[in-house]
Amino acid sequence: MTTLDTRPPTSSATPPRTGGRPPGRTAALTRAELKLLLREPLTTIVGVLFPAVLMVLLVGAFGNEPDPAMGGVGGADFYVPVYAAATIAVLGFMSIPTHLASYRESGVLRRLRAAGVPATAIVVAQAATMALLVLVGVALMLAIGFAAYDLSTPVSAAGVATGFAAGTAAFAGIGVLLGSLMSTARAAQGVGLVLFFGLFFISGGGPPPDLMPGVLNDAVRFTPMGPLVSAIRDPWHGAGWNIAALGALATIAVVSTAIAIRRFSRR
Amino acid sequence: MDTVIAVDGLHKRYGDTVAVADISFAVRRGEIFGLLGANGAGKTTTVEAVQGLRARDGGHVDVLGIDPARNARALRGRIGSQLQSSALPDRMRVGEAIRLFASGLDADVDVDATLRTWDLAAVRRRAFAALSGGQRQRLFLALAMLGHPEVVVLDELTTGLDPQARRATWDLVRAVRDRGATVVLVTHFMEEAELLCDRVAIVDGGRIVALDTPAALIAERGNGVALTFSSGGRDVGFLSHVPGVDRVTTTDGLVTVTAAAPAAAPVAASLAGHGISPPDFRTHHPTLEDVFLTVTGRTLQEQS
Repeated sequence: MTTLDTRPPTSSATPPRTGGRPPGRTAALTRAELKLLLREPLTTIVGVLFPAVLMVLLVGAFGNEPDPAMGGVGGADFYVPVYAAATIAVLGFMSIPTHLASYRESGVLRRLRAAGVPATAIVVAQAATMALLVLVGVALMLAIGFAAYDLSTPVSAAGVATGFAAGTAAFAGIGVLLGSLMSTARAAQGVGLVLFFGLFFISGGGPPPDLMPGVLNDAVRFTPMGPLVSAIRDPWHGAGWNIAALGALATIAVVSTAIAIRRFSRR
Repeated sequence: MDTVIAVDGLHKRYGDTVAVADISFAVRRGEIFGLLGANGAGKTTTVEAVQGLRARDGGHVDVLGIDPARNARALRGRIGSQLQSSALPDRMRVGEAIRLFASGLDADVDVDATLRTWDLAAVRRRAFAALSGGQRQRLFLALAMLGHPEVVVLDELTTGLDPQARRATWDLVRAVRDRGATVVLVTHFMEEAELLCDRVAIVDGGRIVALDTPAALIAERGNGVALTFSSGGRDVGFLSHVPGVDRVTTTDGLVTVTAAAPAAAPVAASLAGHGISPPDFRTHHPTLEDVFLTVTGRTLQEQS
């Protein structure tokens, strides 16, 4: 039998609350999401290990001798930055949308909204979780690259770090936007797979660009994958900061996040 | 009487479908107010508008002096809710859920005390997906009651529970009210509305078709009592002269007497006076189910 203390009504004694922003809600949701992530090994495996394994396969085949088809850089130097970018793309195209769509499907989003959890908290928690996974995935790939494939160090480490940060922000935005649009986890998964594989292998993850038709190389520049890869690869190989790519990523981040927040707070 | 929720002429459509045509009611402080109706009658849309989760197309809503459509944020912490078909992440644990939902409330929340209050201390570290139906409802009630809200909305709280867990949950709802909250209960279970609610609004086709205490609804619209017994082949036509009796019908030896409620005892006395003591004499009092049938023209099962 349940024991309940029946206190006298406290309602009338409760002072009216103001509509101010409650502290700690975003932090609490982020903390909860990180904990859930640690218990959900599949997301981590898909987002972090899958690009690393693909990278090992490709770099293992090409080695790191300078190759004119890759713009004169070696296979490891060409593919490691690209697959580090793939970690970001997998999380943004697949993991976040599927996660949020499953929340919608099961009623978690309803529950959070009814408790007054603001849309910004939902979006920030996803972005923070993604940033952590990107850090882990990229660290893993760089470690493999340096240890096993004689990867050369980036020419501009700050430029590469900025590229990763802008790329993470942009794809977190894409992730929450897709998550706000997809009604079921299954749909989110399907769309994510098409987007990732459709765009990633023509943006440098597959054959070297010089071996692909020029029209594909032109087309990919107008997808989020183009600036993502350029913003990371250019400073790595000494081509300097790619301001246009960084600007495109920042724009994607701001616009998609803003639309997602609007959609999540819609009634 | 202190009114905490006032809904006046609420109207809501989804595209061409009218979910709520015209609903008005007032909920008094400290009562358990029921919205009873079939699926699709407009109950959930109504309480969503009350909670500020759904924009309305017409009418006025006032909750604790606040219009939820204009200032839902001001209601946070003052209105708690248990939503129909809502869930928590599968792997979230009970204790974590309470901490998460307590964050951002102005009131301090004692997690241990909350776990004890709702009999959840033993499953504190259990994941949501591994909880039984009853444990989930206790957790949802605990979350709804965090910060001691003045109004608690419970939507289809006992759907999917077995009868025993349902009864246990009713005790919890009474406890919520006893702790000082006003409860709005959405249900399609007649028995639940009849036993639990101080007042019930019967919702049908986006409108309220009856609203009163369960007892008053039954007294006004329940159409008296029905008495049944086996006549054993005897003629019981004399019963139609007993004051209050409307009709006497015999089908396959089973007699059904429809009568005003006070006529039950005189009918029994009249039978005994004629030397008839049927072993299966039964009095069927009307229930909310009969009221529902009277006011909507259908049973709840036919509508669902």
